[in-house]
Amino acid sequence: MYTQVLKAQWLAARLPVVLLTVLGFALPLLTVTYGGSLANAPTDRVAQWLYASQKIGVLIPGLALLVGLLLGIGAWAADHAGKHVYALSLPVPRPMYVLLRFAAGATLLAAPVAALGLGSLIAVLSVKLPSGIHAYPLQLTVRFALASLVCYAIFFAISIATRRAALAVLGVICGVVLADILISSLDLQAGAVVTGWLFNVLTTWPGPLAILMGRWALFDV
Amino acid sequence: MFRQIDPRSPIPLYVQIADRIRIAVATTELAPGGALPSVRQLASQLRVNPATVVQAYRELEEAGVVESRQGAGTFVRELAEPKRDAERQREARRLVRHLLQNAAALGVTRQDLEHALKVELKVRLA
Amino acid sequence: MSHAIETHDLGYRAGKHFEIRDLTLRVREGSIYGFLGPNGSGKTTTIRLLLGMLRPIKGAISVLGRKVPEEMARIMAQTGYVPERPHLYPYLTLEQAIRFHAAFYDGFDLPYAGELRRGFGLPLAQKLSHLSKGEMGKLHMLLVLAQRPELLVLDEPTDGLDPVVRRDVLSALLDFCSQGSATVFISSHLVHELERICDWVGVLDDGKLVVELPMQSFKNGIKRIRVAHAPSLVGDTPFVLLQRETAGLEQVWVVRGWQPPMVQWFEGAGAAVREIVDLDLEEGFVELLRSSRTPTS
Repeated sequence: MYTQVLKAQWLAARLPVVLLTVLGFALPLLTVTYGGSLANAPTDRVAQWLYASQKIGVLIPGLALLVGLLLGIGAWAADHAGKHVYALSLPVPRPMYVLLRFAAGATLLAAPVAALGLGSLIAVLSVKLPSGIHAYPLQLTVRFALASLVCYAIFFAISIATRRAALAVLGVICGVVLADILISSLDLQAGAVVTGWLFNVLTTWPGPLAILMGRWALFDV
Repeated sequence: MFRQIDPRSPIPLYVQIADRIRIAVATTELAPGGALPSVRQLASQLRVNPATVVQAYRELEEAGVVESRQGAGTFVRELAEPKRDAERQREARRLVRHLLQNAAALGVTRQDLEHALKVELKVRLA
Repeated sequence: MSHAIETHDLGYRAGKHFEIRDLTLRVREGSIYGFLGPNGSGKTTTIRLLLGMLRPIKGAISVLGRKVPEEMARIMAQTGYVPERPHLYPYLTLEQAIRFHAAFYDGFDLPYAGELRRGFGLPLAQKLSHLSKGEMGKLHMLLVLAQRPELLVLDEPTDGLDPVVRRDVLSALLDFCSQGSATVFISSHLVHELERICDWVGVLDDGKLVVELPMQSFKNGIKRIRVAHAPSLVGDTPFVLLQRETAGLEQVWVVRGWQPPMVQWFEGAGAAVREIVDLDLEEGFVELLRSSRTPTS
């Protein structure tokens, strides 16, 4: 059963998975090429690598979010289209089916994660780092894996709900984000407190989005 | 043999099927000792409930027209020549009875019928 | 006599009005039960209730001897369901769809599925989204038959299909039925199709089960009778009077549950039966519905 669900999910999500895998592979290599392109004096090499690493590193949690979004929403797209009639008519208890879908999506997630890992490894092996800078390919990959999984779980859960409910939740999220932007641009102190508080709740441990925060860098001190 | 049986007719389907088989036997279209289609085959071919076919076969068996052999299927009984004649005559009577019933329903008189018979038979023999 | 499907006083409502009311139906094991009813009578809703996709407001349902919805997974393992609208994953090819389906059913007969596929002339490599309506209908039937289930629940399985495809689909269904003792619960508004294959009929109208009888009894029992000197007031009748219309000096009565000896009732009432006309299933069905909607005077 799991094999077939995985196969079906792969067939539905082929394109996004390939895209995410390519991106996962590319980002670490981008760090290296970008870092190498910054022509600095030898004394600034450390700063150069730190800069490049962090500049590109910011994109990695973004990729984790994208992985979660595409695979999480994609997991239920086919069932939504058929109003879940097929899944409900199969001789599998609903919770079990949900688990099968979740496991299948999580398995597909391994592809971009592995790609990031491989890319990081190649990136690290291809440069000679100045002293004082260390490479953290393993930590980066593990962190990316966890972040992707968290985002995937969140979007998976949202996506299970009816289309209307899912859109509502996404709408609320967008609304909050927009409100935050608006409020901060108008420099309203009161508003900033609310959205700021919400932001803190979500992004500070044990908030679910905490894993996305902080420094993401392949090369660090 | 089984041209359009009519589910709308008040005659039950199993009777219609049994009748057709009777006619086929009487005209030796179904040879004595020959096999009838399996229940499965006939139900699927005619698109009727298999129970209907079973009922038809059972009726024919009780009437002595066919016999079922364990595991082999249903076969036409070997009727002696006079019995087949009797069957044909019985069939002829039934046909005429039907004709008379239909005529009555349509308001066709005896004279109309006799005239029609003469015309048709003449055409046939010609 | 065990029942493959049994409901007791089933009630369901979505919104203000009761869609299904006091529904008590019994489907005998091994029978082919035709579920008739006009559009909007609640046939699909009933089927969804039977398969645990909707939760009833009141009443009990048991399918294959198990309670719905508590034992749903075990029930569905022995049930083949063809819904009204296509529900399979459109991006799968035929072959992938068959393999996907097969993975969920222990007794899935892949060779039989292949046999049916060849018989239906379905292309293996075609994506489901590119299948014609007829091909999709055939695929649905293929999948449920290859499960070799104890129960088949078919919601308008031949709706919208051309006559040739309908024949093929029904032939395959009946071929399967002849091989074993599966129960079939088939809803359709194609009355003539049901007339040839069903041995039981249940008529649903406006959420209530109006009649549930062996097909032959239902058909034989509905008659249109031309009555002369009909009594003006009708008390107890041995049959069920569905309709009464005046036609000149006579009246035309449509009755249900008729048996030949009942002519005596007319004689006893001082009336005379001029003619008794058989109604086919469709006519009987129409008369039944007309009468259940308008009170007879």
